[in-house]
Amino acid sequence: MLLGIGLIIAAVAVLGGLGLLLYGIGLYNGLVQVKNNIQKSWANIDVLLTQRAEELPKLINSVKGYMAHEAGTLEKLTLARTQFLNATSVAEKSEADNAMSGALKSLFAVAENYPQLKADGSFLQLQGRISGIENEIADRREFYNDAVNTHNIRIASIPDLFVARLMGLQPAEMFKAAPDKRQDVEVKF
Amino acid sequence: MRNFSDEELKTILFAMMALGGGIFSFARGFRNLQLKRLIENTPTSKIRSLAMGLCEICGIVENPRERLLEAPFTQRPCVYYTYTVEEYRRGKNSHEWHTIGSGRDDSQFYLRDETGAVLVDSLGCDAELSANHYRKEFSGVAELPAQAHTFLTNFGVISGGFWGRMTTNKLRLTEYCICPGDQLYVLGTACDNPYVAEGTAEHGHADIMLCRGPKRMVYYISDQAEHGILRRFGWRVPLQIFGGAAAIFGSLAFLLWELGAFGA
Repeated sequence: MLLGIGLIIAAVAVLGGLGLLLYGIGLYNGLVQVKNNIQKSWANIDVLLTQRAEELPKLINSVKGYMAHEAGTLEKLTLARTQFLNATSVAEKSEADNAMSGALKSLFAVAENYPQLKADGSFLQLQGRISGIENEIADRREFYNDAVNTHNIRIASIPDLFVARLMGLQPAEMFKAAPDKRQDVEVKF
Repeated sequence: MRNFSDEELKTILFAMMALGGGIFSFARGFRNLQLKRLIENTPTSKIRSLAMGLCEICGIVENPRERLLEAPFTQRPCVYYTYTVEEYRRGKNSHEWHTIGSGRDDSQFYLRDETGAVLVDSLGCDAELSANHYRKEFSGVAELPAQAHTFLTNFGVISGGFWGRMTTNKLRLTEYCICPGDQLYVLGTACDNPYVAEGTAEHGHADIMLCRGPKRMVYYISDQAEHGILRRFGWRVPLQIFGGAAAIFGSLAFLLWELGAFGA
């Protein structure tokens, strides 16, 4: 009788311990995953930013001939590109990305004054490609924020909270648009 | 060790099967918990900006080719189907359904969301489908619809000819399929599309295909939305883990009782 009860208690202890261990491992692995998802999603934004920066010399070459009097706009774009290529930290890249977006916006706005340029096939193709990349960058920024949100919720929720504290995980910061990008754009016809 | 009667041996065998089933259910529960957490932790990507590697997308099924697959029992045009054939067998003391055949067929199709479309290769996926579901029982082989009979004969699930048709055991046919226009959830690996030459894609995402990744990575397809999948796992996982544990303890206690560990 005692042997049977003892064996059952041992089985409960072993199975219960195994279950808790597997659950704990699952919690730990899940937190590692959400943490790495943030790094991966930022790296994937960086891929597109680099791709956009690489398209810029072709764009500048295609407009140079038409926009000889817009040296200021072209120089701003070239400087923004150089700033991005020299950036090493996330903050520097983010600042350079803002500068590049602003310079591109100015260039496309000024290009409206040059009908011959607007009809140029290679310019239109490059403009389309860069606009496509900008859309993808916007999607990946949303994705990044989603990854950060999932991470922040996980590390603040029970039972992940306890494992997160042991791992020393802190809430991550979401991507925020630069203040000038949040301003209303005045449309004049 | 005392001698066991045939009945007692049968009961012990049944208890050992229950023990094995309990262990399987317990392990399966943790595997499903891992999948549930993966689905929760992976943000949903927009198709236009898919990145290589494990990703999660939702969209509507489109077909890239004119000719679709044909579901075996309902003849529905589809891009993927899975089927099961069961036979009702009456034994001396029991009667239950036995699976006598199962199979699937997969193809490639496009999945489209509001930003674009991507090619999906359904080969090797773990599909959990509920929407396009067909299940019907038949009194015998002779009652099967002609197309189902031909299909099952061609695949060797049932015997053709006169004697095959004389089988009167009840048959149950089950079929699930993915059809164009279905809403789909896919958790898989975005990899290089081998059907598009490098540098010729019109849009970045045309170079990418969703498939089963290397090293037995997760490849899960469902026709439910993400919250529906998580709700289903929400009850299934504890049922498998605690149900499995209960089966293990119950069968272990019974085996120990039969073996006399609790005394005479």
